[in-house]
Amino acid sequence: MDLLYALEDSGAGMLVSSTQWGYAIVLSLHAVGMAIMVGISLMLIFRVLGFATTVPLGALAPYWKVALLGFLVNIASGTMLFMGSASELFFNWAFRIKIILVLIGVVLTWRLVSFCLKPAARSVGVFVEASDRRLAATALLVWVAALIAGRLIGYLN
Amino acid sequence: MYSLINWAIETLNATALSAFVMGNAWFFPMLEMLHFFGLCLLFGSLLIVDLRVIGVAPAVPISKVEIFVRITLIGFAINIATGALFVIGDSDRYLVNIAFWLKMGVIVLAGLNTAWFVRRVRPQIQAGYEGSELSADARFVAGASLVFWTAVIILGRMIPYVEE
Repeated sequence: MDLLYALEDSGAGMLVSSTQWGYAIVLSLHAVGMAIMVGISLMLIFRVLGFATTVPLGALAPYWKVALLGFLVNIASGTMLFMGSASELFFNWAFRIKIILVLIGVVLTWRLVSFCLKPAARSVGVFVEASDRRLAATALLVWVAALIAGRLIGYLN
Repeated sequence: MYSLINWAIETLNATALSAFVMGNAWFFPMLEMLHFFGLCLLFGSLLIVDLRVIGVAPAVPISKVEIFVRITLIGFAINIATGALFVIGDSDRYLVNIAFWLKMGVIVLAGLNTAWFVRRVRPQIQAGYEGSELSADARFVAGASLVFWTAVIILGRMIPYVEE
């Protein structure tokens, strides 16, 4: 508990909680990072599920780096948002569930990328295994659930 | 101008739809979740198309990338519908909000930019042009699209924080 209060009293915590625009700006960055990370993840998932099969899977690999850039933005902005009200968020169940779902979403999408977008998958119409599709569908559900949990944080505060 | 906005607010507030949107605890949050999902579809698919035109992921056949625009349109449709319900439900919050109107303005700019894309860039993409074969404005239009939609996301997120 002392640690949570110390985070709130830190420079980053105070920037988010006690300056006029700190919270709104960091929250906006968090929304942009989400659009990049989750947006690109969804596109890769749709491709594995059978959308846009004329685009070779392996050719999409550079987009995953862009997605990770968005994830980096959200680790930074999310950490700052947490520091702004650590003593409340830590006990918010929607927040706890969201963090777990985001971590699962990243791991599942990363697995999908390493299975399906590796150089061997570079030809058109490459064979996607049923297990890859199951993985993609699971990742899709996890990302949707993470969005829902994230939106609920404000309502449970 | 203000009397027009007041008239719109009074008219919308008097509708049964407005009462429904605001009348229960779960509907508005559900619309917000859908709005965020639509945003991810719209921006994610635009990243695929616009970054390809700019030169990222050169192994993607440029003439095939356009299919992702279908997802952009689905995301946009979801967000027009959910966004319209926000305004109908809570018009006295949105129609007097500067961030909301700036957001609407940038969406119009993004729409004009898309018209430019359809007229000038799309024929080149369909012909399979890329890199230096693309006209000088193609990369600019693709970059502007991402800048406009990033601004739309930021302005939307700002709406609750610029209220009087």
